[in-house]
Amino acid sequence: MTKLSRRDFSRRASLAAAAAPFLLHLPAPPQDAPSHTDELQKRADSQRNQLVSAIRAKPLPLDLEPAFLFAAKPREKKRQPTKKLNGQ
Amino acid sequence: MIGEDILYLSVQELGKLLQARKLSPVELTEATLARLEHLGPKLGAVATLTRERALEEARSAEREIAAGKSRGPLHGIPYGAKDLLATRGIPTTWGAPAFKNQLFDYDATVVRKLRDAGAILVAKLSMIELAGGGGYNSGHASLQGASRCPYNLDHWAGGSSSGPGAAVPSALVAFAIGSETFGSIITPAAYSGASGLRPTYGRVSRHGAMALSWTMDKLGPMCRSAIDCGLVLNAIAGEDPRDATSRKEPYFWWPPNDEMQARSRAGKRLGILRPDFSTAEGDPEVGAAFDEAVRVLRSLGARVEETDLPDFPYNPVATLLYTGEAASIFRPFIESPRLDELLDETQRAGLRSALDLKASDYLDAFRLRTQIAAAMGELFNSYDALVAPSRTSPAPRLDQKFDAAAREREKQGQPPENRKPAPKSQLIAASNIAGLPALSVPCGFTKEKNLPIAIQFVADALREDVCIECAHAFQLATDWHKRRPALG
Repeated sequence: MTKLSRRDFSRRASLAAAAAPFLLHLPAPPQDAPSHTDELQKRADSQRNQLVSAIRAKPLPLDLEPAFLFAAKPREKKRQPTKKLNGQ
Repeated sequence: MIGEDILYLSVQELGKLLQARKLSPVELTEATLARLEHLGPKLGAVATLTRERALEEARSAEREIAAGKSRGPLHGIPYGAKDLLATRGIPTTWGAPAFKNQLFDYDATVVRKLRDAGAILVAKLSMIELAGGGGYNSGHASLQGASRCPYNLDHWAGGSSSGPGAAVPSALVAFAIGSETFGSIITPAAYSGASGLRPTYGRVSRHGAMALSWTMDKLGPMCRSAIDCGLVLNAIAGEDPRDATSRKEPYFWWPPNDEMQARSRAGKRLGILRPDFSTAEGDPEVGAAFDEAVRVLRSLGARVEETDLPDFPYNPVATLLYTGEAASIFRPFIESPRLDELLDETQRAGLRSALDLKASDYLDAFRLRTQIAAAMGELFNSYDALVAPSRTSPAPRLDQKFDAAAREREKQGQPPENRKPAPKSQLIAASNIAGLPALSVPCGFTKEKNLPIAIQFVADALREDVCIECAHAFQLATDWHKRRPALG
């Protein structure tokens, strides 16, 4: 770490103090107003519900299965370690 | 010194020059890296340049070619990968600030296969954050900023494979690898003027790619011609024990020997899906370009007939399938404060909302998928391929949100437009639900704004060859794919 002399320290401190009022006036990073965020969330939920309604409007036969196939598979057999025979 | 004329050559042409030792892989890679550095920021195309790795791979290619060893048509060719593909020791950001320092210690299978084929990774290319899984409202929704359409920089390159869209038609790379869950190859190919191939689901291993939807994600090539897409797919297709959904069927497409053979493969039965461009469903300029493209296909010997898709809620099914899976995949992230680091507020809300999707609704969408896949399969009894505009309007402006028109209506007190899109306008959704291959190629440009217009060919499962042959024949008869953007 650099060692500061008392003189350097007071010079830097006064510069920082002089800059502080400007720093305070820097605009805050943009944040969504809560009401705007709520509005967006409502809109997203409403869109999801519309999609769901479109699906539910389509009558599905009882015997219609989903288009994926679950396959039961036997456990993978571990290979038996090969035995080393003496003298071979 | 390698100039623009060389960089704009096709993969096929570059490969021939490299094999004949008329072009050095190292010099080609250096020229590509210089162009990426010069134009990449202007186009918002690049996430990370992979200079060291590229030069190492280029030197290796140079040594091998000099020793007479050929790894095939991609040997020594520089390419870019969408930044959702794991690359050992190079950041893989998924386009999202929350993942900007993410590192993997392995290569995605597709990257490994391309390395084995001698291709040279020069850049990770930008993308929409998390591939837009929650829905997004602007082309700026990316850690790397907006990717721009090379032909008109005020407009979006398309997404979510935005960087590949911007980079390929501007010759920043010879080809790129993109990904598609629901339109993410076809859309940037259409908006940016690239040729983009979305393979059959399972044709290309997804190992090492960010998962957005296990049952809908696909990886595919984006190039400057259909024939290049075929060559790249040859290198990346195939079964992979690390991806249980990868297909066992072998894949290899033989390019035609000459133009006559290529044209002879064009006499296919094509089902035309023409949206009604007289309504708000599309842009009339797109309609006119599409009609002209169909006329060209007919002149090449294709048997053309207008058709329609069976009536299903394609867009809702596709959206519920992938958002339901995305909610499960990203639940820990969605429930964490890091969700707020996503740049697009619409996507944040969409992901939160996806967590509340009921299992029964997700399964109903999956049951409809059974019917949709069967109905789409039926169509291929009558047609070799379905043909439609890739997008019904050209790339949107970057200074407007996607829902600007809807919000304007709302402001003016008008009721929201609840018009259900016609089935024939939902080919992207229908074909992604059924896992079918598609290829989009340019078929025109708008007059005033010089924005690309594109046509897509969709074929039956595992018939990428049909898509490639239709599109290749079309590109023999037209030169839209050869237009170069004026980038300075």
